Amino acid sequence: MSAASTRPPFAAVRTALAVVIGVRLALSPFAAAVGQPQALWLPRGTGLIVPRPPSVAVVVGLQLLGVAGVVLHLWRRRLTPFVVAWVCLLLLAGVRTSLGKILHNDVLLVLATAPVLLAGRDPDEQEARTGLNAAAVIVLLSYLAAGWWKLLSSGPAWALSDNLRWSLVAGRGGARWSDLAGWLVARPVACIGLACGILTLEAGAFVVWLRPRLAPLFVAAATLMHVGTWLVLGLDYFAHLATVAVVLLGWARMRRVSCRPTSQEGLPTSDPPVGRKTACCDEKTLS
Amino acid sequence: MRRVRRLLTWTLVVAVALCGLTGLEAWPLTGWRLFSSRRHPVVLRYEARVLTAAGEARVPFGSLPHGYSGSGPVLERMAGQAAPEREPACAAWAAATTQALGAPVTEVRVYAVEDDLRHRSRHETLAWTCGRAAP
Repeated sequence: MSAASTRPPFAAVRTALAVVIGVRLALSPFAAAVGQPQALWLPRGTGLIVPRPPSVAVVVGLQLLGVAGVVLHLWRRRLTPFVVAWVCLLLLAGVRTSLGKILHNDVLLVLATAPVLLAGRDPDEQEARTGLNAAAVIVLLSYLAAGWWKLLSSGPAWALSDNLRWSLVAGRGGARWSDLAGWLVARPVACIGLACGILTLEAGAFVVWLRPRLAPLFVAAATLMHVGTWLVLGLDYFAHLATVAVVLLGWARMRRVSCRPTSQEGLPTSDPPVGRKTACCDEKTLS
Repeated sequence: MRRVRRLLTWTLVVAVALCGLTGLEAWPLTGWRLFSSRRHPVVLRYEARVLTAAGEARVPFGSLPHGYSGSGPVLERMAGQAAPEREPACAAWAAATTQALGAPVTEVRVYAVEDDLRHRSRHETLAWTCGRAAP
């Protein structure tokens, strides 16, 4: 008895990541970074390879090239155009983070897509599994590291004090829904509850690796957190959130599929083994 | 080739883990220190203002091109610089603000501001001046 193919979930994840990169390249205001004086240029990452802020033509050219790469990948299923689109996003996001503040908006999309590209154009079972596993590890590590640094820098007081409340007061100027921000600021206990939820989500991300069936719950909680952050602080983490959803849901599906027993012809059967632990499953199959 | 790709994949994962653990910033690798410092009701920051014939006004970063938006980190870097090193950034702000306000800027003033979020009060002291227009 062998495991069912992991390639369909991998292909779906790759297609979805290409779409997210395409949308990001098309709609993100990268061109707004143009016109920055040299004196204010603080190059970081890929920004280090260009001596000065790029011109409008270069930025728009990279955006168009990237979108064309995504379209070509979706149309002809070639990997090279997707790699070109990924490099365009890497360069443009690097330029934007060279404006001063280190930006994390596109980082997870860039990092989690890399193993999916490294799996090759037509990956076999092993390569597909490695690519998706690595992408999922990167996604979960991003949350784990965020929780780790909150605990290391501030301790439990990060959640159990007025920390979140003061963050909301200081960032209220950018709020998309200032009434919600004001409502929260007026309720310190609600702020502490929210902060506890955020810290639990981040520091507990590793549990998803051990229990893949929790992935949809994790994605739902992350959606609440990032949409909430956008509403009360105005911070756009939609590319990050889309990456989390695409990678974790695809990875969880792969884990489910690879645990499903197959017939001798290699097709999944409908009869799971009852009450025993399979080689690749983390949980007992329900009877 | 397959082994190389696999090696690269897991090298990337290890690099992501190491940066997350140590806080190293090597963009796009990052320490993910998002909102990790505890916020206090008293916030210290720098604020840039310009002097025109009409008086003192905040540099209108919101209405300047997006390339001017990262003023916070630039001001923090300037705090550790000698006066001549601050001049290029100040000159850029002065020129952009002159264009935005339609009034010539004669000086850029940077204040160290202490905001008390609890009492909605602020205390400010002049930290440095720069970008002075030639008489």
